[in-house]
Amino acid sequence: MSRLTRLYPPRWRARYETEFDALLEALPLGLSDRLDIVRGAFIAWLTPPYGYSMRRSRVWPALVVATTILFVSAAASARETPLAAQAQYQVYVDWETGAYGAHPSTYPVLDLTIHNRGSAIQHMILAFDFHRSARPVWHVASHPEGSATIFFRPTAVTVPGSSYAWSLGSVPHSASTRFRVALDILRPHCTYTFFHVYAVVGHPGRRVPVEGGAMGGGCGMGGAP
Amino acid sequence: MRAGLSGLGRFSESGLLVLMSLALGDKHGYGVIVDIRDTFGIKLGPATLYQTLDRLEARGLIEPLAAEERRRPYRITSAGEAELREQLLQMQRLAAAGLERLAES
Repeated sequence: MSRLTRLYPPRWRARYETEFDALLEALPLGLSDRLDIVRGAFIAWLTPPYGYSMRRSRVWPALVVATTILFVSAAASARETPLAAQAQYQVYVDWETGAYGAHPSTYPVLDLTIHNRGSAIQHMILAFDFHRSARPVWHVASHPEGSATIFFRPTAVTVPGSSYAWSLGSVPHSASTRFRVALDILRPHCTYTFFHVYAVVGHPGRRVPVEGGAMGGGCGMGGAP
Repeated sequence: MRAGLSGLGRFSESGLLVLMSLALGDKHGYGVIVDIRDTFGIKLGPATLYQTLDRLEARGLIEPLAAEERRRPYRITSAGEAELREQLLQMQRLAAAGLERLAES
């Protein structure tokens, strides 16, 4: 495999690698050709494969359902104990629902959140994913109907004085880890309630590169060590 | 999903070139690039070619044939021929209208 072909996503290579390599070997590659290949790889990673339609997927219906559930749960949890200003950690159970391509999935999540002076958050999440076709990379258990997964969102930085947090983490689906960029909207008046929208690009093995979902939080235990 | 070349965005021009090349006979990637270069004087990048082939195939305008060693030839489909004919006629009408206006000015 050509070094340039390695730039392309697995789903693309599975289809075109052999003939594309043969073409590259036959062509006298100039700078413009190499730039074309690099640009093509970039497009191949970011562009949904042809035939994929967000409208055909269940991403948006899942988001609507998830958002509705979120606001119901947020309203219900708003009467819980306010987050202590000095809280350093929290353990809580919440849920995540999303659409992994054409397959909606909802699963409970056990989430350990470590706060660092209110400006940085570390998430360690144990997610039990009962999505049948999801194949998480880190299995801690398996079941014919699904599997349990641990994934780690290493960074989540809040904007000081606001209720927003950006997080960048890994996605344990499709037997590969992909970066996930998410926007958390925190609700400081609850223990920890958040709305989590994310998108994932570059899924290998499936012709669905974009995922969408929402994550709703419940209130749990928290306190200063 | 739009079925014709018009929905290909930046690949509509290369799509038209590839269809014109394949209209003359089945070709693999290298053959298409050489034909477009020699016939139209346009250099098609290898990635641009394969992104175009991917989109044309997804729209049913071309079809892959059995691989010959490491190369895979492609063939224009009847839908591809119809689309090519329609695009060329549209270009012909456009050119005629433009030339007519130039003659009048």
